[in-house]
Amino acid sequence: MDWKTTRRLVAGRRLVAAGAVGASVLGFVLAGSSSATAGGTIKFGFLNALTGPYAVAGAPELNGIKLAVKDINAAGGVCGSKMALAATADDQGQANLSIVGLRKLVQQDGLQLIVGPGITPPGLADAPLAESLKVWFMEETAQSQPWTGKNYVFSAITPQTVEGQLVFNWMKKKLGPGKHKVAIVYAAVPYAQAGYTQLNQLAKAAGWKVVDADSYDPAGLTFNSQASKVASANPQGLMIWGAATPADAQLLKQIRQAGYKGPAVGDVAFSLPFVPTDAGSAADTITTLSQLNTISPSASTKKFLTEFKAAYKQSATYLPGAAYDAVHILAAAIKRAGCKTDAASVSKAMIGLKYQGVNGPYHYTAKYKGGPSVTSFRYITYKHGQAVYTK
Amino acid sequence: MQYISLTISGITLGSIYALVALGFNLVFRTVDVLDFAQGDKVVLGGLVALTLVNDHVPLALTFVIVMAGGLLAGVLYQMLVVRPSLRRGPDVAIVATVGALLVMSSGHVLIWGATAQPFPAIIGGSVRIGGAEVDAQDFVVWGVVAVVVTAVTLFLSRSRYGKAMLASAADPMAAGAVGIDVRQMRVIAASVAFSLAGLAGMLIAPITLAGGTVGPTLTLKAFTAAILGGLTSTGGVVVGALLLGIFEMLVGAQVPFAYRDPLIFAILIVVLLVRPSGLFGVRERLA
Amino acid sequence: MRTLAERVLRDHQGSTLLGGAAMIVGAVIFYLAAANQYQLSVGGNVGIDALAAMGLTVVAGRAGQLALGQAGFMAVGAYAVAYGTTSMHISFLVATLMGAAIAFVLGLVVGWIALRLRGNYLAMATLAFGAIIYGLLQVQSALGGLGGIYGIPPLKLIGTYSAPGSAYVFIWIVVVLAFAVCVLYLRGRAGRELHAIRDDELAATSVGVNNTFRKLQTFGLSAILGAVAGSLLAANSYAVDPTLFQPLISFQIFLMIVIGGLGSLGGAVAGAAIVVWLVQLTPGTGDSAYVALGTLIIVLMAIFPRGLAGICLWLLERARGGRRTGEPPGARGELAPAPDVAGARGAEAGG
Repeated sequence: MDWKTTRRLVAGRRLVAAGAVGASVLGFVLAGSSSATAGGTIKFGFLNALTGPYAVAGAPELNGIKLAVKDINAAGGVCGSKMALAATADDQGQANLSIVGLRKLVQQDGLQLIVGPGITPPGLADAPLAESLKVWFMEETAQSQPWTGKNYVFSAITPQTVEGQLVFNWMKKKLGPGKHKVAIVYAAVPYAQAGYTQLNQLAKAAGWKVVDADSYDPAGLTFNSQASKVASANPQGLMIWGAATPADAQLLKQIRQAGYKGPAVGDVAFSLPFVPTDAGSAADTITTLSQLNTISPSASTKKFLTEFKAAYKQSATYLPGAAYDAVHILAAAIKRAGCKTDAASVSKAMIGLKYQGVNGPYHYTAKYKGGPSVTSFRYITYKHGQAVYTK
Repeated sequence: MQYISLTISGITLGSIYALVALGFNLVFRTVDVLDFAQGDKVVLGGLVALTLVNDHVPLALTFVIVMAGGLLAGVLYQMLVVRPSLRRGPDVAIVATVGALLVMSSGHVLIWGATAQPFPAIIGGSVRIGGAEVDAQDFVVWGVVAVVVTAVTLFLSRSRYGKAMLASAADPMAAGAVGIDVRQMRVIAASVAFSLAGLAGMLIAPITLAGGTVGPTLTLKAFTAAILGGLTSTGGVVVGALLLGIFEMLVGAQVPFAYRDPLIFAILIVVLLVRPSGLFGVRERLA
Repeated sequence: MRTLAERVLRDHQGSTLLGGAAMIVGAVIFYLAAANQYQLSVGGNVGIDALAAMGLTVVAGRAGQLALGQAGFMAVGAYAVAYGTTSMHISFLVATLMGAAIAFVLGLVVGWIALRLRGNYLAMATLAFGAIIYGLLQVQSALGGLGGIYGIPPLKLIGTYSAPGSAYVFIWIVVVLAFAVCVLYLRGRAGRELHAIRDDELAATSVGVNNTFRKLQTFGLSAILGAVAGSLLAANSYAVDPTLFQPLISFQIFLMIVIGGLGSLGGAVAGAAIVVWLVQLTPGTGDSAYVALGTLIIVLMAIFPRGLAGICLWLLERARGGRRTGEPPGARGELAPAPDVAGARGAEAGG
């Protein structure tokens, strides 16, 4: 081969190479900026506290999401396409990081469907932004402000005001009419502090006196101060709002050890599996709300519980349960939207959507965009380490 | 009686602070640097201990490994973090310890994850003393700390190395002049400090979860303890630490939980301004 | 008659202006080159942190006071805007001024403490100060407790700046103005006196420098800058909560000015950009970025304590024709562009 031909061949190869590179770059650019579907995959994003002090909630939720994707795809996917968790953003439970993370998922990663934060401040901060960016945004927070009056924002968690009312109702029934002395102890996290605020208001409205109101560190394990305060205040009833960490169980145990013998009621955090294991016999002395039914689960809930345990070596709680449900709700909404996957269609299809999830029955309407209704809760207590129904 | 049980918990907490404060004391006297990463060393100790315990390493062996590992880590710490920057002045070295703090507080997350994890109790069961429940765990902590503090005190006052270390702490130039290898003394001090911190981490893990973000808070509290007792006095920091532990528990029972730490830190600032030499320290100018 | 170029390259003040010019150019280029609003919002956060870092530089770098409580002042400014605009219904400007005023008073308090403490002890005291503010923010109160305050209206000053692009411009204009204020402050008598105080307090007093006044003034200025940064943060994030101002944040800002070079205003801005972007670009969480940055500090303190600014100055001086014989920056135990007493002592005592 003479050198002229070689040169032409080389030049030609270079041109082809350049073209290939150019095409793939173009392909990347196009793929990155496309909407959720590309070649048969429905992509969505997850924004949550994956590290930091709140990862105790975020990490299991991520597992719930992954399991949901697996289950949905194993059952044939959605409208013939597979679902995929395309990108995650870690907000460490902080509002400003969450806003940046949301922008990243939407503007850098090009996603229009996002399952969002489980911690209150990020949830409150992200909602207006998600609405203005017009992306489908399913939070895992227990407040109603994020989704009130919005078209694109939803939550998979029941507003905590529902819980607070149920907690208070139990105590009211237990104590009967009249003025009583009660104590409220809450974990030092925003969600629990908000719970305390509500319980405090309800107590005052009922004419009760709150003789002890105290908080505790959800990362600690010694609560002598809090326990001795409760014991010496000797209220007629104790209401506890936990943080879904082992600290809740320890607090309960130490309050009992300090000598307080009255009735105690807790929020759904006390339905978590480490309460009976860590609190020992003290677990038998508290009544708590429970949403994820582990006592008499339905077939689909049982499937979720066993699969989760097998895959992640930890017991599922209502937190990954909500994440699991959220992805399924997304799938259901897409189907309801006639297989359209843009945020506007999916969000519109949410109105009127009903779904039976592991955490209970969901029903999204124009006015209510939160998690399962009050009927999804039941009161439970423990007997010899086993959860049992109670009143 | 609530006060008794609170005091007992306070003594337990205080004795753990004592270990950390002793580390501060040793390093500060020999190296003239306040180690901002001290609290994070405690966290590391707790996490390493947790890993060993979860791998079914017997408890006694875990103690030994954590302490020995701490000694080694302290040597490395002094040589890699402090010494190179100390050449340029103690203020520069302080900044290096802040760098070490960032490495440790983020680094432990990369290895162990961000969630603080429960640590199985060293020993279960409790005893009734005078109307209060004392956990067997508390006895273990007191015992371990008493032994360690005695050992360190004896080391400093009786052994050759210990006395040399005190000498180089008091006057590095003079000590160098009589043939003491000041640099070696500093390494020993840093090494013992890291080991004490690691041990403290292992003792505190059953009380509070292992891991998490408590590093800077722990540093501040241990420093408060050291200042209270007198940063330059070995016995002083131990007393100061016990006092702080008891105070934290007793006051914690009176004021809402959220005010407890701010109160302690405010006291730190006041002590620094009013009596920086603490209860037992030697008077020295702080500014 | 020296040309502008000569003056800029030789004069220490000149290099500050050079740094300032570089900052403006960099900010403009970034604005034009940013691919989407996400990047602009990160750029806005860089500006906010740069402002806080400049405040810390004035006190930690130029005045030689090791202060680790900057997050506390940011909290004051942030909550002033958060509470002011949502509950008191005052404008962003008035709320910011309110926050700056409160921060100024607190800054004076910290400055007063700094008169009596030094080095290690001051660092601990300022850390405690920041921790106290963080703790108090978490108390259930009108400031929202752990949940903080949300629904803060966006930046507003003769027009609203809610889009990341316009917020970016607003923030960086404030940064440039603050830079100018700092330069004027440090260029004048205050700067020279601070220099003298850092070198040798006793000697400074003997030539008539009022140490007390200067130190208080500097802490006050640093507090105001931190508070303004916090105010911008609040309006730009629409929500604030206590975790934004935990002690670790103070360490992170300190990290920025150390990397940039203690004492250098331009360095503070560069350090902020480096830290924020590194954290954003590191895949996964920010933890690996902080491990890398922490290691960087340890290495820097051993080799180039003067940080990025020091390296730049050293390069400039070498480029000028090697009047200095290629001495690595900070070889004589300096942390900032002037020798200090502590450094000399440290050099004697060895490692």
